[in-house]
Amino acid sequence: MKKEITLATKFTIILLVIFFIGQTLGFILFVLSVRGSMIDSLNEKMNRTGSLLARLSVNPLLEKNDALLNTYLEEIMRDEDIVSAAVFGRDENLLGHKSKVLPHESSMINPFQVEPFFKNKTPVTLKSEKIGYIITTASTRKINDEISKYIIFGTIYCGVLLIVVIFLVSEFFSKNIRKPISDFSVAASKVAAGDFTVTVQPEKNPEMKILTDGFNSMTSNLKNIFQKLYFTVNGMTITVKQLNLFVDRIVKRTGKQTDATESVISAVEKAEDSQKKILNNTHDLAAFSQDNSSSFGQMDATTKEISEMTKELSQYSSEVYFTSANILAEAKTITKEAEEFLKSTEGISSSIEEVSASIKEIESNTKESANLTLLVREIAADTGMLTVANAMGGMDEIMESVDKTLGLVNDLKTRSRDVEKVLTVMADVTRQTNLLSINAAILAAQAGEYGSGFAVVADEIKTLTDRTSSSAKEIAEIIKTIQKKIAELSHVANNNKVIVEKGTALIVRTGEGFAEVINSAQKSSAMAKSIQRLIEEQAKEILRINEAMDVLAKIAAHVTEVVHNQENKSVQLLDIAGKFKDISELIDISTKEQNTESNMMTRNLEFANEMIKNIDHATSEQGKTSEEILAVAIKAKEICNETLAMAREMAESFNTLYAEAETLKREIEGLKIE
Amino acid sequence: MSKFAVFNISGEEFGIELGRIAEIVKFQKSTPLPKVPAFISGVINIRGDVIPLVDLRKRLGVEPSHIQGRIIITKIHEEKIGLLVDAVKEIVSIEKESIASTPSFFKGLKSEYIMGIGKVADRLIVILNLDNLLSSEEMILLGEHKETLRFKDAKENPSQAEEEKDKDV
Repeated sequence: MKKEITLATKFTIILLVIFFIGQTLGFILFVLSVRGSMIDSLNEKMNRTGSLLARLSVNPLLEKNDALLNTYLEEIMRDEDIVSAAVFGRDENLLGHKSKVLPHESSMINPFQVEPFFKNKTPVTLKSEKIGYIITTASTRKINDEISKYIIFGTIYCGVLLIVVIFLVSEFFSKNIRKPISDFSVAASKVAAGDFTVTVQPEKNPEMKILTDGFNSMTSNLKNIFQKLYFTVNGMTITVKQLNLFVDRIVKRTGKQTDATESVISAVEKAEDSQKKILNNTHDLAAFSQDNSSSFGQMDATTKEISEMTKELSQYSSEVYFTSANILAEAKTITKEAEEFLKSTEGISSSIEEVSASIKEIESNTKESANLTLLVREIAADTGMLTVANAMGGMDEIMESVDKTLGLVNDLKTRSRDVEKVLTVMADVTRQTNLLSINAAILAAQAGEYGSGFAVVADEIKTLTDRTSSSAKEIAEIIKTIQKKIAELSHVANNNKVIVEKGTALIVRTGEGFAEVINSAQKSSAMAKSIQRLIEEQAKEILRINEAMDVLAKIAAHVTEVVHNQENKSVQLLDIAGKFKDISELIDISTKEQNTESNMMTRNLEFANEMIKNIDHATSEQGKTSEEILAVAIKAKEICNETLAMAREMAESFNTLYAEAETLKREIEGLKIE
Repeated sequence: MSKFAVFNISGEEFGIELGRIAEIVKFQKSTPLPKVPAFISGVINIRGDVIPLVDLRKRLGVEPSHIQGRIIITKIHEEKIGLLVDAVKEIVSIEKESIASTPSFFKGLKSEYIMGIGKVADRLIVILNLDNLLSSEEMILLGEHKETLRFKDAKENPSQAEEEKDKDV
């Protein structure tokens, strides 16, 4: 908008050029038309003057009255446009001539200049005989002056108009387009520099308003987005930092792990060495112990034989003792069980009695409920259904009367409509009568004196019709109110009908309910009867059980007695067996002691042997395992190394991410968004 | 003291001297005429008499309506002319003294149509000057039409007049 030509300027210049051309063309056309009309009027004037002079100069020409001719010429010369006038006779001889000199005309440059003089030749005729002619000359000086004036004033006027238009157009552009656009560009440059708090004042101009509104919403949206971005970047830098720390820790840990696996590997290698040594030693030891164990086996066999003999003896005596003790114990448990059985039979019989008592109660209850259901059935069947039927009958009657009311109301409606028809007829009649009375009055007036009596009658008719029409109006109103009431009544009757229908439906539903009640009462009474029967049967069964229990109790008591007797006898037997057992045990213990010692030795030797074998096996197993451990440890180390490399890479990329986030954050902080 | 029939046009009250009125009849449809001014609705048949019908609303320059009012049959220059009005109300007597001379322009009506303003109690009744209601040229025009119509009527529809008469009785 500083040095280059703007669109607005171009537009203005084009507008002005068009305006200027138009104005100039209009001006030229205007001047030409004025010029033409002026020339025409001058010509006409010349013709008129010439013909006037021709008519006037007929007589002087015939009489050769030059004096008169001269006066006429002078008269004509008074016209300021006419420069000279001459009268010629029949023989072309000049009879009279007058002329004058006009002051020098202005020396204006005039492109519309008209030739300086107009000549007009008019013949003088008498009875279509030419007796002479007149030549008049007019100057066009006045026309030229007028055109010059128009040129001067027109140019001034056009110039002024052009200036005013230029001023108005430039004013319009600066106000409506340039100012808003410059505001807009300032705001836009601010936004470009990063200030998002800028808003543009909305213009009255609708196009500009759309632009400014759009711009404002755009900046506010940008502001929001940048705010969100700032928060996100902030959050991101924090997270990246934390991640970085975490990765550092991972790196350290993995380093430590690698160290640890390496030490494991070295330890496992050492362990393998020592295991190999142990394996060799145990092999030697196993051979040695096997020799030892075979010499011990021979000694052991003799002691075993002695021990077996004594063992048999002792076994027999202890068997006797154990059997008698067992018998005693068995007898004791049998008594205990018999007593418990007795007790439980007593408990069972008491609980059976309780059951039978409660069954009796149930029986009485079921009987009562059966009676009650019967009663309900009777009531529902007799009283309820009867009442429902009665109600239905009543409802039907009500319905009938409501229907009748409705019919009556409808009848009333039609009747009132009939009355309305009558009223319209009446109104028509009244109007007719009114017209008649007016016509009568007219006739009476035209009849003059004789019609005065008739006029009175006409007046009476008029008042009568007036009264009739007013009363008809009243009746119409009354009928309208009656109709309104009837409409209300019909509405109420309709409502009544609906209510009665609802009532009937309710009663029908009640009847159905009663029928259901009766049905269910019947079902429940049948159920109660069957329950009663079942309970009676159950009571009988329980009585039978009770009897059986009594018999069982008696038998149990008898068994207890018999067992008691047996118990006493087995106590005596146990005493005798105990003495015999003591003697055989003494012998057995001494043999056993010897046997156990040798046995223990053998067993120890065998155990040691086995242990050695186990150790050997275990050590070889351990060797295999430690080899496996070694392989695994090596693999673990490789994995650790890989993890370490990856963690380092991750740390590096996190660092770059952090740095980039920081730069972004700084850039956003540089923007003005709050 | 003379009597006037008072009638209504768009709520305004007008009066015509009783002596100038032949009768008042109910509205009936008029037969339109060609090449006549707009305020002439056509002609009507009153007991065999063919009478031109002037729509007073149009003549007085009041906006037209479709009210089927009354027709006042008047005598203008010894010719019967029907005037279509909204309603005929009553007959009033007005003293000569209480008839004010015409103002130059009353409620948008041309003074040439008004004879005077009659005062009855608080009411102002515009008394029409029937003689000026139609110009002499218009009277001649109507007369010509009437003649041709009468001729045509008798030729084409000789029983119509009789029928009309029967209806009125």
